[in-house]
Amino acid sequence: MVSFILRRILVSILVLVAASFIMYVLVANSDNPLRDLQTGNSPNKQALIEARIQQQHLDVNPVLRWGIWLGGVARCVVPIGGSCSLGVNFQNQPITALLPAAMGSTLQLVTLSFLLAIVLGIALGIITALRVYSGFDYTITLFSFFLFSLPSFLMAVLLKTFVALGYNNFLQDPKIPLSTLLIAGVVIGAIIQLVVGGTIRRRLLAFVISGGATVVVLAALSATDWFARPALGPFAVILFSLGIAFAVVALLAGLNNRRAWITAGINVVLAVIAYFTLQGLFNISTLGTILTLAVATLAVGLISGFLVGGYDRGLMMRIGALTAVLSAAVVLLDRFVASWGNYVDAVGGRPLATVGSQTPGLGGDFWISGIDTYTHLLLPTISLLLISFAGYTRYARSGMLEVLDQDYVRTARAKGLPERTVIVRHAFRNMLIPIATLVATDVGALLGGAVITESVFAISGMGNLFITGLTATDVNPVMGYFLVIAITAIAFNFLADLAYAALDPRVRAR
Amino acid sequence: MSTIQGNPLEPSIGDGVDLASRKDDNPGESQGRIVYKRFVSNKVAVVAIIVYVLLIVLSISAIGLGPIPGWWKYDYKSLNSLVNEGAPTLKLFPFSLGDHPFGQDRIGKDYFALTMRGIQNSVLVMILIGLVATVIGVVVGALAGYFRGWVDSVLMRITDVFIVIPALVIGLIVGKSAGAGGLGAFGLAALLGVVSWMVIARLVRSEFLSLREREFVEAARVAGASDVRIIFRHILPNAIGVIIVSSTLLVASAILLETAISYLGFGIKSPDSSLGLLISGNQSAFSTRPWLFWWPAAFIVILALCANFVGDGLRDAFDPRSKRFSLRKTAEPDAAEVSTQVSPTPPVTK
Repeated sequence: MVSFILRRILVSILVLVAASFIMYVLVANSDNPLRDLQTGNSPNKQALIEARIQQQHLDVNPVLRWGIWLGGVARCVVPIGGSCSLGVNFQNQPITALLPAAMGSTLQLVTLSFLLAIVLGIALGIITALRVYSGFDYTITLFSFFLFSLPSFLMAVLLKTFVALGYNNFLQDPKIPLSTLLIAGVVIGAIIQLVVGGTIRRRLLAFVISGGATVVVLAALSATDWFARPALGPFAVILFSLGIAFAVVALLAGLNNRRAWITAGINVVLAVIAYFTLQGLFNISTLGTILTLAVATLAVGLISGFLVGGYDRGLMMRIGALTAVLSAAVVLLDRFVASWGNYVDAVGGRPLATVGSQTPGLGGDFWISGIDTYTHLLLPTISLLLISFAGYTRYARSGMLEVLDQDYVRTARAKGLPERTVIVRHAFRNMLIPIATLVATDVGALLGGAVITESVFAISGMGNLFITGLTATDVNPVMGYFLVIAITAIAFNFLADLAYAALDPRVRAR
Repeated sequence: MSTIQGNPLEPSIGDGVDLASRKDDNPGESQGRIVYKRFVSNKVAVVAIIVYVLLIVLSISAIGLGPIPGWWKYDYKSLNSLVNEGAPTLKLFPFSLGDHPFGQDRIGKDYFALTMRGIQNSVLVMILIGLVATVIGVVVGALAGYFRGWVDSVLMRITDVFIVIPALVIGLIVGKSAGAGGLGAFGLAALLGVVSWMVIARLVRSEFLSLREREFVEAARVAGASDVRIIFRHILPNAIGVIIVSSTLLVASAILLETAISYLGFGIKSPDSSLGLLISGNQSAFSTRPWLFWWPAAFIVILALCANFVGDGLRDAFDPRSKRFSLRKTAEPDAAEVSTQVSPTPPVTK
């Protein structure tokens, strides 16, 4: 195993070096780097050209220049002889100073959409596989084909125009007209009846109940002016936490597992207690406090599961952790929602941003700036998410269908296991194995796709660094971008291989 | 294992209950005939191919190709006086094109001609990327898979090197070079093809690795066939399914790549026209002249959707496994419950 890992790392480094050579030479030869100066009419034109040639070693052949650049990079890895350097851009700023901020911005964007795409895509894929050849399956398939065929810049522009402007305009007068209310009810009802499936009677019932509930809830929210001054309050927090506990128990353990109920119940009670006692702490919180609380929550969930124990201690710990983290998220959400009104006032009543990654000059505590970050991230995240989401849905669907066809699933059913156990414990885990590879290849595509999203939403992340560098034929920022992208892609491929070996005992690393 | 199979958009295969009379089980038919029949029975894919061809015919006949003029009165470069503030004059009931059916852009160019030119360029780029990438990918994959050993190692490491760079990133760089060299749509497409062959190479290699161990290859070798002959006359025809399917799907992603590159300003440049360029040039006018946005957007999605449907239809036609899922549907009377449950009747496997 160790020799396998070492060999893989060595090969990865060689691949990285070779790819950096191709990138460097391609970018350096893509255009004339002095064009802007030569066509400009600055009085000291000649001096500026000389200065840039000196600064960027433009008098050296690109292949040798790559050697100079690689030397600087090598000193970042092996700190002997000289300092770490990724070169400077045309404005003489060192790339090592530009990269961290850009990386942070892009990472925020990509991580969230990456995780959401995986979770939602796999969940939807499994549901379509369980309802294969149903109306729901056809609808989702058509929808994912549509997403496959939609360029991400188109998606981004559409989101900007309709969602951001539409929502902001709606907030000016947050009343839902009756016609919209009915349409929303019919749409939600239609979706729910597709998901539920079954006989006509069952579908009709699902349609009426879910559609009616949607209309009633939306009408109540609209009548009480909830959209202008949203709040959750203790009642909603308790309700949501109970819902989470129910869902987690139903999914992971089955509804007649008493110990699972006890574990989930403990964590819901703890979350509600935390909700009432921690509000004072929340008011003075920083990111550090919240992270500490998150770790504590996870620990409490695991420990409660451990203490309840029983014959299936691992399962209880998973249930405890999941319930604790999700209900704590509800408590956190409640606190964010409480600050929403102040935030909307602070940004002049138009909360959904279409450009940048934060409102310039916005003061406020952790909660206000947190909301600010998320209102800026929301649309870019959705537009990135929907693209790779379609792929995950398709792969999860076909993977699940393939797994459900296996003999061990038949055996599990034949020995009388409930359908939930067959799906969650036997089929689901095996379906995840091929998905690991997909996740690894998707990271590279997602980071590449971020170039477009950042450009549409004017976020100054890595993509922006790349585009400005490439436009000016400024090689060093482009190479800085490439290093981060390539190392991430290679690292994820490596992790996928390890995950493959860990998930599938038939695969043995050589 | 990780391919998408079982196209649920395909209603016709497996609708017949009498399994013995299934057309594609007829032993007297050639592989190509079977694949053709399966593909034609997939209505969505056939419609997609028809729509695609019609769009090509429309775009070429409307504004002509190169020096040959088309039937449309305006070309995509000339400036015209604004009619009705550039709003579209297309009417469906009763049908009439009017003077500028798709409207005019801000400086008065006819938007129908611009869009048609954009479709021409996008289709050219799609097909050329597909051709170039397929040829390179097949050659690399075939050599690596057939010769194995150090040839395989070297070629696959080269593939790894290219695959590390995201397609969009290398596409943008290549597009920038093509723009600086003044190569136009043709050169851009060829260069993009040169950097898009990696996935096909990997698939072809794995196909060759398994096919080269088969008896018919052994027989050909014993009969004294050369390596070139074995590769091209014996193995390649058997790998054609993988190649056709993956290059069709590459074509579908090629239009997204081209439009994205043009959108970011590194692809096809004005005064030539591209669907991505039209969107990036006119997105600021969205609220006042939405048609400047909607026409190119609609055609991008239609072209990409057609290519995806055709690719998916081809995959089902070539994939013998796709039948299995449909067969179960017919063998399973109670499909409303969990329909993937194994039926009590003996499974029909081939």
